[in-house]
Amino acid sequence: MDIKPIIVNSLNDLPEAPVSQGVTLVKKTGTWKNVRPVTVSRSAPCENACPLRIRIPDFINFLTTNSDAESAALEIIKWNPFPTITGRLCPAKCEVGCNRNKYDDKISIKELERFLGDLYLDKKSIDIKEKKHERVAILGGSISGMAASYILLKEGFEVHLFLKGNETFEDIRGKVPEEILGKELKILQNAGLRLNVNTSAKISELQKEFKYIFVSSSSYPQMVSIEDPKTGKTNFEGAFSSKEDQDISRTIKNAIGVAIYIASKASGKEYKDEEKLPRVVSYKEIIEDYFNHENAVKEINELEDAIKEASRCFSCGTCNSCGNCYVFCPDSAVKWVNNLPEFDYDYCKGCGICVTECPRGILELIPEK
Amino acid sequence: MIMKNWQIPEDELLYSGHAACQGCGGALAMRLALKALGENSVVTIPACCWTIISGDVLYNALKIPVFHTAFETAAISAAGLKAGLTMRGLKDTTVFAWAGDGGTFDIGIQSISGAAERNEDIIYFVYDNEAYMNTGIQRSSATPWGAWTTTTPVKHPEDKPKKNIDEIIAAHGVPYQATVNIAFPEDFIRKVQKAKGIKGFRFFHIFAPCPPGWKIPSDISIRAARLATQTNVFPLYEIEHGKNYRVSYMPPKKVPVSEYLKIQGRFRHLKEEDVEFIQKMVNENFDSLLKKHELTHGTLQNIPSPEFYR
Amino acid sequence: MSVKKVLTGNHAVSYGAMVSRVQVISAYPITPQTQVVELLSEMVADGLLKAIFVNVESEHSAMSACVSASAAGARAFTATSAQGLALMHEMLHWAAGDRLPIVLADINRAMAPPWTIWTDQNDSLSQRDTGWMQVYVESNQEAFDSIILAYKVAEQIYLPCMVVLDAFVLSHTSEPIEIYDQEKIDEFLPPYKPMVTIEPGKPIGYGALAGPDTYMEFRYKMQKAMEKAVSVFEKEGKLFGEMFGRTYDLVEPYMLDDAEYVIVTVGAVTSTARVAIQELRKKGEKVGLLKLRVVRPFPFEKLRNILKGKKKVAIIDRNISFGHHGIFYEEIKSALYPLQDRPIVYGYIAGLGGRDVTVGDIIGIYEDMKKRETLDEAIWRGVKL
Repeated sequence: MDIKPIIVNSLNDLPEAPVSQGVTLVKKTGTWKNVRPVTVSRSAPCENACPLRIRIPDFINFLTTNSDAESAALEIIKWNPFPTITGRLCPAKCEVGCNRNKYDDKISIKELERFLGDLYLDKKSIDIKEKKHERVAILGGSISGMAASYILLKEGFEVHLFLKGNETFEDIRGKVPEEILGKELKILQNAGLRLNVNTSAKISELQKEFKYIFVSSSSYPQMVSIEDPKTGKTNFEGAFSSKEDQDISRTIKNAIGVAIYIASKASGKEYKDEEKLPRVVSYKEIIEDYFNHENAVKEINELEDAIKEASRCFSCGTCNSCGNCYVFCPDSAVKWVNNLPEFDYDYCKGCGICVTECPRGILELIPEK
Repeated sequence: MIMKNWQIPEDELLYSGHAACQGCGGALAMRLALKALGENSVVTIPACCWTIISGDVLYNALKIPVFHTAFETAAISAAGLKAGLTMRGLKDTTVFAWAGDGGTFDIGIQSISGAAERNEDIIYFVYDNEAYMNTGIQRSSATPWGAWTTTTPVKHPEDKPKKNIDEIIAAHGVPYQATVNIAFPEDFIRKVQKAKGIKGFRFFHIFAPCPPGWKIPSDISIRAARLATQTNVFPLYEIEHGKNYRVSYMPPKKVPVSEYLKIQGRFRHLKEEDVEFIQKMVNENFDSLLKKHELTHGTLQNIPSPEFYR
Repeated sequence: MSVKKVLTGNHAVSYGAMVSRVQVISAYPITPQTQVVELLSEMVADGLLKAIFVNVESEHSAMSACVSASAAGARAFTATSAQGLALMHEMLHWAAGDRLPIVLADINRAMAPPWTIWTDQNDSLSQRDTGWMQVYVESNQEAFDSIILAYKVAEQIYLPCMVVLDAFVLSHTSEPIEIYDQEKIDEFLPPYKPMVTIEPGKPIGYGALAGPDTYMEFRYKMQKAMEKAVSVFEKEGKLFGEMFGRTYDLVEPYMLDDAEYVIVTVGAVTSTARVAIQELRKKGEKVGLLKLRVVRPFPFEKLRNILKGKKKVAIIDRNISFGHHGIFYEEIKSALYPLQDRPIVYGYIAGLGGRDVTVGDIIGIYEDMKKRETLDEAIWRGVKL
């Protein structure tokens, strides 16, 4: 569209009758503002409470926006290799922190995770990044050993798992259905996990064959002593181990951390500490007017249940494309692009409605330069 | 368009660059109405804020034709447009008038009454910001009891209740009329779309806050509008043929009017007993509205009452 | 085939609107105009005229409806008188400012208070500066013809036109009228071609705010259109004569070639003046008559050409600008001022509020003018002093 300004130098530049020739897009009313809305990073209390830092509002968004359970499950698996297990065994600190507790009832996050983990299990596979020639020995089939195996397989290592007996997931047997554990093991094996059963492996022997060794401390409590909990370095050269915790998610997290350290060491890349999540959205920032009281779905058996429960989520700190900022803009200055708002600062007058009406605290007004 | 909270027509018929103040309820009202009405529409605008908002003699802010007219003529101007377009064979074009509360409750009421009585085939919108805002916040007969304006100073604030324009229109027995609020966009759009399919005179009373005129920060104009309905200061309802009432929304919890009043500078001077008086008026008005709904439907149970009303 | 009908001035106007194929009529009752729209409403109801008749609640709304209907591209018509026209005032500006070729018949009626329903020109002349063209007619035939002509001119220069006729003297008096063949009228007056229209798909803003940087240019264009209207009136008046046998100009001289004294009239009093001139001529007086037909646009050149070199001019004003004098007097006098050999001009206020202006009155005005030596302003005739 032609939005050139109309210059009136003579009579001929104007029509005979007082009729407009252009549109107001010529007028950059964005110059009026002294503040502008911006999207800011915020986090939800749930994801902050989760040791694995699963981006809970993100996976919930996949359910609510497109009823996309697969993407939701993949989003969880990005942070947590075993939602089938944590979805049953973790203490669900996320739910304790959930802002919805102050409104009616927490979101059944753990149950959602379990459901999605189970639902996706048959399709689940490990997406191996790049084959490495290094071989890693994992000593012990407890959850930390299994989690480390998962990460190291994904990183492309040749992973050999040494078991005392013949059982993987040995510390959680009986707490998770056998069928599920069987499938989880199969997924690891499909990714190349080599099982050595009934072994009596010793570090000194393994050191000859394996550059890296990961010792599951619940399987071999006395074998090594951890010197640096962050990297998992032990008193043996090339041997690593992670701390066990009462919270299974914490245990998994620790194992993942050490596995990632091993991978970064192997590839010569710098090991980066996990990023801190941005400021948590408090309940005060949630606008109750945009929600309805609804009973939580405590047991999720169908996708429908999952979506119903997911739709209760306040989505604290994560844009869930609610559309308030777009709908309430009096200046048509919020565009809706790929289901997300885009601010047109040429015309945004900085009224702040979008910020005030954002029910989840994602927008902020910042002063104009 | 995928939006979690809203089902809103995608069409954007209001250009950016218009001249409304920051946070203008009237501007948003037009944007929503246009989304509902679509491009086969023409509008006539009498003297009001929108005379200025819509651009100037060089640039138009709307993607539909705007015919500017004199203060008191919105309704008849629309009727004339309709007659002219009909004679030219453009019979299915929606013709609507878009006026402020001054142009509707006060100076334009004769022309509205005439058009309503003749059942002219037009839609009349009043975006009600409860005073003459374009001229600098003078009281109109839409100004609520107790409000400050530049002609009802704090020492002698508005001492008459707001004129009940909706009942005046209802007395004409027009086919359709409704109250709508910019804080409830789906309700707004749904009603306008419904009206679009009805022939004859249709009337919309839009609640549209004015941040400078109400002395509120521009970012809370939606919140203020929402509170007006949540407190029953501005209930949402429809009337058909002047007698069939349907209340659109029953706030699920009682929100005292003080919640609405206390956020606005124009009510800052009110004393506790003033607020009580307003609460009493609001209660009476809402009760009387509910009675009319009940008379029509035999029940109040069919009034939707979600917490998040759209 | 043309037909003859005996019609009142009001009904002549109705017929004028009908044969002009107006599409939207909006009106409000007021004496003495009411018959114009009564007959039109019947014509619409009978299907003789394909139009929408909007029965509004006031003249203000009547003109508003015409304005917006015209903006929507329809040929619009209304009629009114006195208080009604005054109530329309705001919208008369609107019609002209938006350049809408609406035609309005004003049945001249004096302004209240005191209440009156009889003729004078103060109602229409109070609207002199609204940007409307004004045509004052002498007879019912001229009223009928002028409605058609008004549309023809208005739709070329895009300004509205008022056709003005005297209350009762014309409005309620019957005369034989020739109604021309509709096909020929359609040939003379083709359908309205709007300059710009309010219609879907054309997102214009019409009549929006103009700042000091643009407003004046629109006013200049209006003035230029008015100036152009002089030649358009002349051209179309001639064409009308060729097609229908009656030629119209902005002014109409009567026995002026050898006249030393001139009486100027506007409206129905012209017919009376013609008789007075005939009688005076019989007595050997060198007097003639100038009928001013179109007062907006003002025919400066035509007046100057006709009146230059005359000894004295008497202007009969059926109107008054209080504190000044008769309006046509002031306008004609000022038009003649640049002439070297300008005549002496006297202004006579007569016939206000429907008081008769008789042949005797006009002869009296002539005699007064001829002998008067002082330069008096606003000479009242027929007032009971």
